[in-house]
Parts: sequence; structure tokens; C-alpha cells
Amino acid sequence: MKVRGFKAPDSIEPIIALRGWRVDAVAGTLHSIVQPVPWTPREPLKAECSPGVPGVRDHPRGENSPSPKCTCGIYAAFTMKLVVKYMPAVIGRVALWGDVVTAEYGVRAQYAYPLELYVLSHFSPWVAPSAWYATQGTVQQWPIPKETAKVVADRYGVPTIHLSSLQDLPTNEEWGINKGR
Amino acid sequence: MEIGVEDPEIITIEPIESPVPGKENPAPKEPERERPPVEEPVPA
Repeated sequence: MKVRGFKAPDSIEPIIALRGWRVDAVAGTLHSIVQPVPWTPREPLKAECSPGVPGVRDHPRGENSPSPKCTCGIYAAFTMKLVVKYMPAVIGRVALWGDVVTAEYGVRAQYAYPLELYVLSHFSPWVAPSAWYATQGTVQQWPIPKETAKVVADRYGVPTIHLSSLQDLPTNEEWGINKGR
Repeated sequence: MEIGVEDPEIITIEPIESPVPGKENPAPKEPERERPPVEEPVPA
């Protein structure tokens, strides 16, 4: 509904989806995997378009990120299968809100914050950190120690569990996904 | 991340409760009302 320039929100419930992160095991901070973006503890992450990055289309002027005409935004998936393809060190549920582009298997959103995290110590077949992790210097120890889960929990203020096997993860039904459509 | 075919229209979500621990409502706040000027006491 639109009244005198005011557009009512489509929903007051955030979208709930799944994501993976890199982790600084000592500082306990999360970082995006595809883009080198830090997630500041206790602050919502706001999407920004990064023109010039390979694969990112030119962002229309004056429009928020994400835009249907661009590929920017904070991505999250509706299934863990899509998330583990990126070999994350931390996975979990994330709340997404603001302007949101919804899609078949996930969303890209303007704002996000983690809700529940799982620090993966070592699990097959993703035991070794990728070369990219190593060059960024964000993984100091592997497997990631149990203490990291506590540091992450304290910093972000969300439940964080240390897991040694993906078998112990909640099922797709248990994640409580809200697709927003 | 491959999220498949996107819906053509953006949706807007304004949560009532902030998903960020310790943060207030993420919805835009109303501007503060201007306070009336306080009269200075006149010295006797």
C-alpha cells in the first residue's frame, strides 16, 4: 500500500536463511567468503555495491543495494547444501531485512545479522583451509579450536556451537527458514 | 551464490524487533520534537 509517498513494508518478519563465513579464530570475527567483507559484531551488516568487481554489474545510481538491475546485496540460501559448497568455517542462520530480492533458492538483502552459528572444527571433505583463507591470514589454527565458538558467541551475542561433524547440524526443516514469499 | 531465478520486484521488510542483540527497533525513528525554549530566570 502506498499513501502520499509512504510505502508500507511488505513484512515485519525478517527473512530467515542460511549462510557461511570465514572466521578469525583468535578475534572471533566473521567475514564473508566470496567478498572480503567483515561482519562487525552487534551491528547490522549493510549491503553496498562494489562496482569494478568481476561479476558485478554496474549499479544504478540512486538505488539501494540490492537492486534487481545489479547482482549486489548480502546473499543467503534456503538450503545448507548451497552453503557448504563454499567450504565455510562457520555456518548458521541469518536474519535479512530492508530491501530484499527474493529468488528460487535464496535471497540477496540490504541488511543482515547472524542469529545462530555453528563453528565447524574439522569435517570431511573440507578439512584444509583454502589457499585464499591462508593468504588472508584469517585462519590461525586448523582445526578451529572449541574456544573460538565461545569468543564468537560473546562478540556477536548469538548462540554459537562448536561442531566436529556436519551430521550434527539441524535438518533443513529444523532451521526454520522464512523465505519471505 | 547461485540463488536461482529472481522475483522481478523487490520486497521491503521492516522488522518490529531488531535482529541485532542490544539494538533498538531497526525501523526509522520519528524525528525528535523541538523543545519549547526554557525561560531564563530574571535576576531580582
